[in-house]
Amino acid sequence: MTPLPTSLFRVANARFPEKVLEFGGRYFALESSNHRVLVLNRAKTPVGQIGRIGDGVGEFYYPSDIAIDRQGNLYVLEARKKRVQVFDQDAKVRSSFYVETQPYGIVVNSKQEILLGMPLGGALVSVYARDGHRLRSFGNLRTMSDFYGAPLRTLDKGYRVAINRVSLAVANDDSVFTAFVGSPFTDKFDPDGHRVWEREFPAIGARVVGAYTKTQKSPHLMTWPTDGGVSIPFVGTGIAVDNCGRLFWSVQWDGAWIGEYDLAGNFVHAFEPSDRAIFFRNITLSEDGGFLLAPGFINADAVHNTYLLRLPNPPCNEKTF
Amino acid sequence: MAQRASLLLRPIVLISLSLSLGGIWLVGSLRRPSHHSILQPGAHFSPRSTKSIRDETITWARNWTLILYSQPLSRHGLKVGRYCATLLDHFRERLTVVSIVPGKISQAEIYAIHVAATWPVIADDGQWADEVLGIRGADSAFFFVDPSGIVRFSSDSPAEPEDLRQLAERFLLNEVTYADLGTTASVAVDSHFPSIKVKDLRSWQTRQWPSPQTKLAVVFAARCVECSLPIELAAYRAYEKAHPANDLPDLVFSSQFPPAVLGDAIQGAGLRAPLLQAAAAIPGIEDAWSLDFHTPSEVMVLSLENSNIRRFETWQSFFGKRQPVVGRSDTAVDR
Repeated sequence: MTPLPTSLFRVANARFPEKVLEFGGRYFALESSNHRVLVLNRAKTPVGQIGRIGDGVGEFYYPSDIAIDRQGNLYVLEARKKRVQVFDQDAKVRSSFYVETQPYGIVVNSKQEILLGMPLGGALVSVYARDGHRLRSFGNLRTMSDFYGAPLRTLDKGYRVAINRVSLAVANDDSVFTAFVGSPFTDKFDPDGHRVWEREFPAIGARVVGAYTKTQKSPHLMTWPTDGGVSIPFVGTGIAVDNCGRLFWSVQWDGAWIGEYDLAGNFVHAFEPSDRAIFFRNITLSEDGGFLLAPGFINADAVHNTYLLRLPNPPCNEKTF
Repeated sequence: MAQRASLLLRPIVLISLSLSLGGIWLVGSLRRPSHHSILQPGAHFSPRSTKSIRDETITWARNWTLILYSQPLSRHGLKVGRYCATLLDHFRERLTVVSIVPGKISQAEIYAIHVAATWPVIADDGQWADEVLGIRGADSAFFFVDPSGIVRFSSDSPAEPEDLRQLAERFLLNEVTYADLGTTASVAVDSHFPSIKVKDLRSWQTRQWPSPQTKLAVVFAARCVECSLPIELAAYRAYEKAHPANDLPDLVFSSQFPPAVLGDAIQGAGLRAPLLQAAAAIPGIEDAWSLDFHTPSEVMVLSLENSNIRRFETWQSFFGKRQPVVGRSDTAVDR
């Protein structure tokens, strides 16, 4: 396990940044509890914000995820309100629409199509146009027994939705990666939505099974009231793809780790933060590809920071695959 | 005619939206998902006149109104309810608060005591909340209604005090402030603890505190009141049993504890230490309007020397044992 040097990305007046994206020399920090996206300069000083608390267009109530497209348009997902809003680089609202059921993650592909993790919609991922039109869905919903076999078959029904919550990432060729929140599995789908491969993060599966069979305690739990109120261990914490064809997949249990894979699904490296007390989620890549931006916290410390995890390989130049 | 009727029934058209935003590339349906049942923003709030548990007739005066619906003794509901006093203190006549508690009048009365409600509390048998607010089966909900009776914000998930503060600022001031959130109290070692007014709960005399002779204080801040106070006092009592009378700390209680609640808890604990209740928010621990009702612990221990803070720590640290968890944690993550 290779340690990744960490440094702090501290944002003044920010409250529990949930995700931080970098684009065009600026950082966009999602502050769900402050109902806004903070905009920061290279010095990490706030220079503006997008949104504020409210129900109207351009306002947010617990925004839950953000994504940026290649033109720098910002996409903000409010899971509770089941709404997606799109802002241009001048922070003007360009689109706003509601979806049918509660989504979890959001990414945008090269065609500016919006991909949402929406198991309540009957598939892993649903794809929307910017006008709110649902274009397609893909990814069969999985069951507990799909992942863990017969011993967990009794949980198939109760966890039907929760087990299919995923974080999303999109590669340059619009292939899609789904990292399951409640289990150490990741799938790759081609741009047409066909599953290409599935990988399991090593050495965690037995502990996860133990959590579901109540023989082990899960260090972190997540619950969605819309999913029947079941709690699942928070295992898959994020996924990101860089322009070099490197996939970074973060998981946690009693520690936090990152697996590096190539786009064919071959395992390359495993990393952990040099400060092993850090737990993080919603990893994203810096623009130069040299760092992972990872909001998180240290053990039980309630103060959330964002950590910069320096990747060992040099950043690559952008290229298509 | 049928075609015209169907046109009229279409979802909200976005021409007005594009006019207001000066042009949008692409717009989508603004029709909310249809399973939302509570009164939504934009809807008209049309209540009939109703009475509070104190027999006040609520006429829904033309004012910004925060309507809170919560179960009578839910921990979260009480936390938010208590924060309303802070909101009203800050916004005064510009904001009206009304609490609605499902169940009998007796349960609403308990709620009113625990949150020290100076605003109307309505006991609802389920019908009123359903008819007027569309609340059906939800544990909690809240609504911001403007002076013309239009709902400007609503949610059927539990509000946090910080959300209510931001919404109140947004609607009443048109400017939201953002707390520099830290989870440590703003007391600092070697700083001077300011003199505050307290009431001695044994003699009922009011005096200034601390005195230069005060060495140790246990501060019970009001993050969660009755759900923890008896248990924490019971734990403190164990400490008291092991220490002589001249070596006991001053116990300082938040001004936000309702007298009846505090009285019951203290009486049940049978304590020897000086019992003091602050007259106002305890400096450094409770005194920020935007502190978001977050304190690092319900109980803080201060070591003082000539009113200078030499040490402060959490209850757990000072007494050396973990506090029992009271109730179920509100940690459901809804993303």
